[in-house]
Amino acid sequence: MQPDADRIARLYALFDAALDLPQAEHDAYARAACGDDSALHEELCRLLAHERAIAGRDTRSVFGSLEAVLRDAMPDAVHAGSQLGEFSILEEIGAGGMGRVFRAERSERGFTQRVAIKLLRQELTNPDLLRRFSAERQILAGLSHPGICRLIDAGALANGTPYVVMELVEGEPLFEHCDRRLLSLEHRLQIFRQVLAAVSHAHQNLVVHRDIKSSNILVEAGGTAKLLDFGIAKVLAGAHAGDGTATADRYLSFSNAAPEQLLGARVTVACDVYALGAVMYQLCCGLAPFDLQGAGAAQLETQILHVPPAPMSRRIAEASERIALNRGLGNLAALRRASSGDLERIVQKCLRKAPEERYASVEQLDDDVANFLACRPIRASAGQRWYRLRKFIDRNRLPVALGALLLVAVATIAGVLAARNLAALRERDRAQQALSILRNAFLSADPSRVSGEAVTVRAVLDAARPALEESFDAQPELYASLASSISEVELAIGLSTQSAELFDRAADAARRGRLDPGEHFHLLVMRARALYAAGEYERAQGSLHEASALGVELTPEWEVTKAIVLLRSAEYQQAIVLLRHAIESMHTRPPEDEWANSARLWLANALRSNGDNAEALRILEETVDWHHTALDPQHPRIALTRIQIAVQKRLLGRPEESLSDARQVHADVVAAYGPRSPFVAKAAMVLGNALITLEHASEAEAVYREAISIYQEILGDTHPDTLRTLFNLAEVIVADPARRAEARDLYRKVFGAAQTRFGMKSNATILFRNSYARTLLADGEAAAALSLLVSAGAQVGLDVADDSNRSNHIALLRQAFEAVECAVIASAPNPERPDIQAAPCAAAAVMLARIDAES
Amino acid sequence: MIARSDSPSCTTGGSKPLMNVSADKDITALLKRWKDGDRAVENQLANLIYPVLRDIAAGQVRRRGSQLTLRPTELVNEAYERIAGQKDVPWQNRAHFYAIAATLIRRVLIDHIRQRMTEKHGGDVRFVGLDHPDCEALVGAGNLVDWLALDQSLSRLAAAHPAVARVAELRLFAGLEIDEIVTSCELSRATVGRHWRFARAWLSADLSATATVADQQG
Repeated sequence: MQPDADRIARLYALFDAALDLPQAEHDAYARAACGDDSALHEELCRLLAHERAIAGRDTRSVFGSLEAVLRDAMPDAVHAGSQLGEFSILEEIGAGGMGRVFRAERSERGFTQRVAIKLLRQELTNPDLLRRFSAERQILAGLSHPGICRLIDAGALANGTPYVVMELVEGEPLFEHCDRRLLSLEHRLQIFRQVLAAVSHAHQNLVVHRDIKSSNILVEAGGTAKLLDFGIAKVLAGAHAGDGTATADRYLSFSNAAPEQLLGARVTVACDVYALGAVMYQLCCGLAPFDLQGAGAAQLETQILHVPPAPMSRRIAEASERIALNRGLGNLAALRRASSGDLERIVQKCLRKAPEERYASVEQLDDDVANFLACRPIRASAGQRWYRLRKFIDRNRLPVALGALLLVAVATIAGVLAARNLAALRERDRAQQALSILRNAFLSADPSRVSGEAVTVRAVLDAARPALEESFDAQPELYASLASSISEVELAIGLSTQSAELFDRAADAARRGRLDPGEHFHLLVMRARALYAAGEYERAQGSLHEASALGVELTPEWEVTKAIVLLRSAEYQQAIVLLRHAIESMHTRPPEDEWANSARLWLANALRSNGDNAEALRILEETVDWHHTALDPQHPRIALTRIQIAVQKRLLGRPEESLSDARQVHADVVAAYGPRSPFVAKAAMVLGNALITLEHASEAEAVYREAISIYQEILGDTHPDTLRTLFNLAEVIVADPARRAEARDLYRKVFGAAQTRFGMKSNATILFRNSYARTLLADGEAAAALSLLVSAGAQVGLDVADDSNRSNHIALLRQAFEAVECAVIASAPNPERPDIQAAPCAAAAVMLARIDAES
Repeated sequence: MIARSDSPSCTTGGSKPLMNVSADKDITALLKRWKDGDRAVENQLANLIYPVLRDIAAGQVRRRGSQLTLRPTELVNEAYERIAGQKDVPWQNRAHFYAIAATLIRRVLIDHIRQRMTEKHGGDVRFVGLDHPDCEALVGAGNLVDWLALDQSLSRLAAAHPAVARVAELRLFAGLEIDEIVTSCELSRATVGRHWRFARAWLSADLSATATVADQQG
């Protein structure tokens, strides 16, 4: 605000007068003196408050000292033509965060040596730094490697400015070098291996670089890569030791600093491995692991500490074609193919958050890059627990991290809603960006969809809703777009009902607003997916229909969702056609792609349902092969598909193979995810089934119990998977004549839970009822069985039961009818048997008559 | 042991003539015009006096070695001694020199900082608002205070109340004590004290307001 003279004069007078009074009277005076002029009053109070805060303090402590700035500004001791020790300064060749760089030379016995002299910034100067520098100098000067820019000398100017004399490297920074020459990925990696060799040499001499970044890697015209500034970051960082890590790392490039560097933990070779991974990431896909543009410090920190970098293949999808062209590739799809798979795994292994999960040494990293270039299997895939999943299952940690991210997203949304003006569009992009980070985090964290209990995340999502709702009327397209993102997150973490509801609102808003048709289409497809997950099949169908009416070209996602819905209504062949077409149109997508993957699994499912078990097995085996081209062998998707293969072999009448497959995958997932993971439960369940088929009852019981205890812990007592496994257990136990009561008790429990959880029309409920009734009958409890089979729920269920459940039910009903001697009771009720009621018999008679009439 | 080396360009001793005669004349003429209110000559003055200031700074460096403490006051005083000690400089009043020196130091500094920021795309100079909790700890570290913002605040203040702003400029950029400002500005001690007190509170308030706005925009 530009103060005018009158106002300042007035303020001055009032301020002066106030300060003549005791401090306690300031407020009263200010109120009285300013009268109605509330702006003046406010300003006066501000001035008085500042006066109170700074009174008695040294000017320098309030406004800072001019000295450092002055010192920096004044003496220009080093410039072209000046002499620094035995070196003549020729010209300034660069200025950077650490200081200025000059080209210089010295002549010795007729031999001219050209060097680069780097003058560190004045602010970095202190006696401690110089001491440390001299301590490090010896070690650094000892590094002699063609890939390391050699340290020749170090010292300090008279004014204390430290300088470093280095070998002069005339080259351009790594990325520029590669991009300008349109170098292929292979060529880039070959240059990168030179860097690895240099870093490895330094590590062997116990020197850690600490600040590896593209600008520190120069490539000479002849193609030799040189790494600059070895060890300097350590000297600098050490200079600030004890005054907080944020300051310590101020001069380090933020994007390549490893999480432990940010946290101020011990810096080891693992930091360099991390930074090398970051360089390699960008070298391959053209983008830094984290998008640091416009992100706040806190956001950055959260990303570096907690968010796994997005796979390069996903980042490439958002990148510009230029990046592919720079690598001699025709388009982004080609680049994505080239940088997925092993390359992705190598990079990701470098970028793990925990130092011990990275390559243990640069040599190991180099081995893998060499393996990759030679098309050999890489080390990164061997025996490594799958990182992101482990992160996810580590429940205490992930929700906290994502919770923090969500808070950022929520705050951004709130900001958007507050703005409500033209700027909202830009803000929306930011919010969308925050959300897409989240969405990616969730999607990559939980491919198995077994969570549902991430309470922290859910609470934050719930908190986002009210802020979001405010835009429903005023900015429908904004609402649609944000709500759709949040819904996707909800769907990804298994909150399908909640997700479907929010998608409904989003679709509502999209209809009213002018949402981009493509985005609208996507929203409707995702809503269909959420509705399907929530069990609302008809509405899912409706949403798909609505999407297809938008006139946008149908996407593979639409086809997959449509096929899933068709499978529900047993329209297998149509579903198979759609899925095959969707898979064909997604053939360039990598195995990380959720849709490309699920299309294949659904196709196998559809084929199985259609009775084509051999083709289903072929698809599954093909899918696993495809997975192996890009995924870590320990990736849950591979485990889940292998489990399906075991199932499929059993269905094909190859139980021995099924059993050996199931044993193998069970052992693998235990090793990979630990004994309490949901994958272990799934594998145990399938293993149990194979064992039962081959009549290994006691071992089957043991693995079923293993699965049950995991499911109960993770999914709860009434989750379908828990109940299915309990049912299988009952089927094992019931075969043992000595344990009939135990089995009956289990059946009763499972049936009871299913009734509540799935309702009467569920085939699972009907199946469980039949088994329970069969056990009752076999144990001579015919009356109880009959009551069960003629209950209101049973009658409802019979009409929707699948063929086998229906015929079983009818057979059991007839058996019970006879066992209770209903015909006899109908003619002459037996007073000696009060437990036998006429009513169930009558109901059974009606049911059977109807069944006979229908057939 | 750390090698130290001096650049020959820094070793111009006190015995060596600082300026040639024509420069002296220029300075005399320019200073007179500046004193008479011609602010347009400030650039030329800066070009002439800046080398003197710089040379003095370099001399201090030489004399004291690496324990460099460049106090603006000493710098200004020494510059005055040197320039006034030469012949044909009519302004014997040290106070007038203080006034121009403070203005020049301020200009040189601000230009320098601006240039540095442009070089670094604004990324490397960290500014901290005065309401920052760690303000006191940070200002000790050097140019962490937003001198650009301070300069702008001071200009705003000068537009409305030049006398108050002048006191602040002398205090902040020439490092003068209240008594020296009293002599320089020919004002009473009480007035200088009140001016300074007001300027201090006003700048402080203005700077933290600016910092807050900048935070919100950023």
